[in-house]
Amino acid sequence: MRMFWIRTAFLGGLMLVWEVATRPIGGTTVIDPYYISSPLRIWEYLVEGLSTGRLLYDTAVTVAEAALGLVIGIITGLAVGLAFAFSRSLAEFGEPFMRGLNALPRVALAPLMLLWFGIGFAGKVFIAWSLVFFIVFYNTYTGARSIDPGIVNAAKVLGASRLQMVRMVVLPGVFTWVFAALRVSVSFALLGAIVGEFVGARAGLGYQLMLAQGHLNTDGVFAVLVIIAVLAIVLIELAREVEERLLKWRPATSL
Amino acid sequence: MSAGRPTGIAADGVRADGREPGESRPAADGVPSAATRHSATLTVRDFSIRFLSADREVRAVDAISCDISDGHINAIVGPSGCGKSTLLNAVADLLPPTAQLSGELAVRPGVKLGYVFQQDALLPWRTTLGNAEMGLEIAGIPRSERLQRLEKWLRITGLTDFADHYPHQLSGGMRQRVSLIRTLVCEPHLVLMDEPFGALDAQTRAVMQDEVLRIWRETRTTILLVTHDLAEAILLARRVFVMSRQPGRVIRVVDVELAEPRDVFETRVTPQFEALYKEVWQVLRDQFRSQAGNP
Ligand SMILES: Nc1ncnc2c1ncn2[C@@H]1O[C@H](COP(=O)(O)OP(=O)(O)OP(=O)(O)O)[C@@H](O)[C@H]1O
Ligand SMILES: [Mg+2]
Repeated sequence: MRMFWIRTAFLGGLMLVWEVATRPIGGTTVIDPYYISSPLRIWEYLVEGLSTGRLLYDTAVTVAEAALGLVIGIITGLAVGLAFAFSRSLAEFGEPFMRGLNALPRVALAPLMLLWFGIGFAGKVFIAWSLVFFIVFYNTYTGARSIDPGIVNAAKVLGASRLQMVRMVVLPGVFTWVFAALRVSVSFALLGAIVGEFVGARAGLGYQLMLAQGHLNTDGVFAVLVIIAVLAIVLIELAREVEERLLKWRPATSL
Repeated sequence: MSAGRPTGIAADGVRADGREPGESRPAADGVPSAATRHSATLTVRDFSIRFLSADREVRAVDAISCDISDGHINAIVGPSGCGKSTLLNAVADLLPPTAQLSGELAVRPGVKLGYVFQQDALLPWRTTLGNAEMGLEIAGIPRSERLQRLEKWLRITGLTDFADHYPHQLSGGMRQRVSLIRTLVCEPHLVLMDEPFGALDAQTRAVMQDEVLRIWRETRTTILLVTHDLAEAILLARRVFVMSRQPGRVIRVVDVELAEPRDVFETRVTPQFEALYKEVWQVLRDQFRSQAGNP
């Protein structure tokens, strides 16, 4: 609790210094707010943008893009990862391709995104998906291969069919890995959506960021950054909550 | 005669083995013949297992013969690496494809197998109850009946209050008990146990041995127990098979005639127990000697 007040005081102090530094003192300012804005100006921009609904709309668009990319990424990543885990020949055949595709910097897909999907919603989902897919794929594949053979044997002796084996042993084992990577997946989905919006869009936080920058509007840039930061924190905390709920059977390791 | 791989185990855990029970005949290589019955739960004749890898071949089990008769606890003791676990895995059809089998290994048709592993092999994401009910769930038994059947077992093993604990919240002895009831609640006819208490301290171990004896008296299920612990073998088993060092063969079969009902704590201090212990130890010690002298 004490730490909370120390942190609050630190942050408040920082804001105060920032604000004062951008105020004219005896005709000169320490730093021109044109470059670094100021807390009050950012606040005003935020209040205005949110109350007119414009920034709210952009936030919703970005969240929707990231969420859809996340969900599709998890489903496809799980499916392909399981297929690789179950079929040795598929894994042998496909592994180099997966590695190659995953090595590709995803921003490089942006021109393709524009060609295929235009500057609308779907392209951003595509970029978010392309990031989440590989995280989930690799976690599924590794998770399935690292399932304790002792557990598999135990289920076999208890008479488990192939389907029961998947349901009781393989999927829970794989989910452990996938959910442990949920926070990373969420932040990558957000990253993908925003990067997609940079490249070409008509809405979204990334689009607003580019717009503000184009108008040399530092207040706007900072305001959108604040929204993105808050959004990221909320989403990642949400993911942590889900993760903890689903993986509550795990012992807490402390080193 | 070459059996190749033994036939698989059907989905309900019953060995789908169309083979007729092998007729009894005196076992090979001078092994004292068991009081042979016509349909032993498990018949093993001249059975060998080799592991083939690219550059070498390991003979794990060599021309082993033994009959496991109904309703008794049987124990296998032998030096480390002599193929005890491999033999149990062959019975449960869990060997990898690199294992080459020859000879005869037959589980009587209709016999339902259970296997208690050395490591408890519990699912970490299932609670005590969730783990214990796995076999029943697989068999398609409805949840209410599963709970009803498990209640008794949880009570006997003192796990009732831990039914909703996850494995990492249990002690080693408790985990092994969960593993035990997961197997026993399915009411198998033949229970394989591979050093089930090897990882436990001496006191917990004695308590668990007592529990096995009690459960066995109640169910009279056939048990094949692999152990390092001579005293454990003699205390629990009606018959002890002593194996040689690798490649393992049965070099002695000891019938254990001790006053029934046995008691883990009382029986241990009787002169009969000591005499048997000495007898088996002598046989085993020779194995370790030849191992030490000939690495
Ligand atoms: N999958 C395998 N591939 C190759 N060799 C194997 C395999 N499994 C077991 N072996 C070999 O077979 C022999 C018997 O192993 P096994 O595990 O059955 O011994 P054990 O009698 O159970 O020993 P312990 O008492 O130490 O558990 C060993 O030499 C081991 O190296
Ligand atoms: Mg072993």
